[in-house]
Amino acid sequence: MIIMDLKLDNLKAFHHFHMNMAYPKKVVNSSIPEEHLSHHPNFRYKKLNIILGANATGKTSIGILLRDIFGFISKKSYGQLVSNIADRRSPAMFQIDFIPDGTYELYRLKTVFEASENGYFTNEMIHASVGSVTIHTDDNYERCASRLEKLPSQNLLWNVALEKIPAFAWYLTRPDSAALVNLQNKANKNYLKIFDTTLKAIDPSIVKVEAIPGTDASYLIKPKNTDILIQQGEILKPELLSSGTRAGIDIADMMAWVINQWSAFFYCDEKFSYMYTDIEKAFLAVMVEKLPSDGQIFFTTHNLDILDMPYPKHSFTFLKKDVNQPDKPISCIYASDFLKRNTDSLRNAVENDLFSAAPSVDKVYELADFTKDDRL
Amino acid sequence: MKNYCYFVEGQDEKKIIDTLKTELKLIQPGKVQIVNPVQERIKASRLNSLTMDTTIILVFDTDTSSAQILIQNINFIKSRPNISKVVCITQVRNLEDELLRSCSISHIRELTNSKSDREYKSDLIKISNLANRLNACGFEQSKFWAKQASGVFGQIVNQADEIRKIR
Repeated sequence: MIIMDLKLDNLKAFHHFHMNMAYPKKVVNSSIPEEHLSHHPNFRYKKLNIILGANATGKTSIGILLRDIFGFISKKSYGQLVSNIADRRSPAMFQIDFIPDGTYELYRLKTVFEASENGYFTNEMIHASVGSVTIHTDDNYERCASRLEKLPSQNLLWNVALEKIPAFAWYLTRPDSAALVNLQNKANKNYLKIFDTTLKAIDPSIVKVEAIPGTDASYLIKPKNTDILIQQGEILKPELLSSGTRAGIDIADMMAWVINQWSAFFYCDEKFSYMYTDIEKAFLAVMVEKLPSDGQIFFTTHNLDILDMPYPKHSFTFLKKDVNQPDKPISCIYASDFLKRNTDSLRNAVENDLFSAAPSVDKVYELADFTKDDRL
Repeated sequence: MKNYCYFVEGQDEKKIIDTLKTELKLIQPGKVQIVNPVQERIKASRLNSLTMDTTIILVFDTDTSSAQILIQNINFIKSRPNISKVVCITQVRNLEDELLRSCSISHIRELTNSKSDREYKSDLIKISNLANRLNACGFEQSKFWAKQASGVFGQIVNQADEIRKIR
């Protein structure tokens, strides 16, 4: 699954939001080789999408919406998706251009939810149209998108339209720190080894990770002198794990999916917030290296050290929120639009807020003006 | 790696600086904080979070009667180990006058297409195409932040040329 273009309107905090994953020119000596659709060298797409932005700029919301859009497509169920509509008395829309796994077809799904006076939705209020074009060997995204625009509109029920979309796999994480973890039910040796290696990378005090035979999704993590049990996805005594090690369990599962290529699409949302910067950079580098052909990663982070990694400038997207623009509060800023030369320092650009996307710290400093209040 | 940080009086100055640095690329990029260096004492906490070798750029109006707090702030900022330089930009007498001088407009409301001059500030903060509006109003960078203040601010040299980008 490759996402090429995403438009969102009246979903969560997004209004007239647009994000594009094509890039215009081949990068010489790129650290991400073959960054195009396989056998289609002109169909360039961002395999790695590092998304940065201040708090509440939509990094997690994009992941949630993609999860719900994918669920809408695969399960033909709209309940979860409509829960994201910000104002139900106004229409909501999303449009996504994508290439399903194992195809060379560019699909466009556009879905409109009519305004609902009473807040409820029926089938007749949902309008979905699906179109697809074959990607020719010398095509780029723009040419295919242009052909998609010219396709005649259809008059199908939304669930019938969705039947046209082939099945695809995806893997999305969220920065939750719940006691429940998402682990494979019946781990094979390879999965256990990845789980074991990942946790030891994060916490060298861990001696061993074992699957508990005859049980579902149950594992034993063995630091020195203690055992931590994960039973059917629930960590018993999570307080025995550091927040980094706890996050490591989710990361281990994700790494297993990457290495085993059980999915080609990954949305990794701030899974490394509790990790030392070198660890985060190393995991990202491995994820990119092990990404399958025609794979794609979205990686959200607050860690500015990631900016020093030698990935192409087009790999970096900044989300900017402007409360003074209610029509379009969140927008994408692509580093490659501002930094054209290899020698341009992305880190320097961010440190000096070239993109005018840095959060305001003024309210924090207002706290320094507060005085204590002795009244009870 | 050199870092720059603007200390400006209000949201309107921030909007102008963001536009000049990001869309028009006319000035040195830097983060912008809203603190009035003429009226407020700058606290150590605000400076301690800045990286080594940061240049602070103070942008302030010169239509007040005392420069005492400003001078104290300049000396305090210069004393901080992580601050390499302080650059002063004197707005004569204020941002509105600077914009009137550097654009081909008679009234400030023309810049933002506001109903009245009083509404220009709030409209300026909300406008989404300020770069286009500045260009449409004939904005000339060489006339913006180009005057030397007089009176109590006469002792402060306008150093705006140090942050202009050569085009």
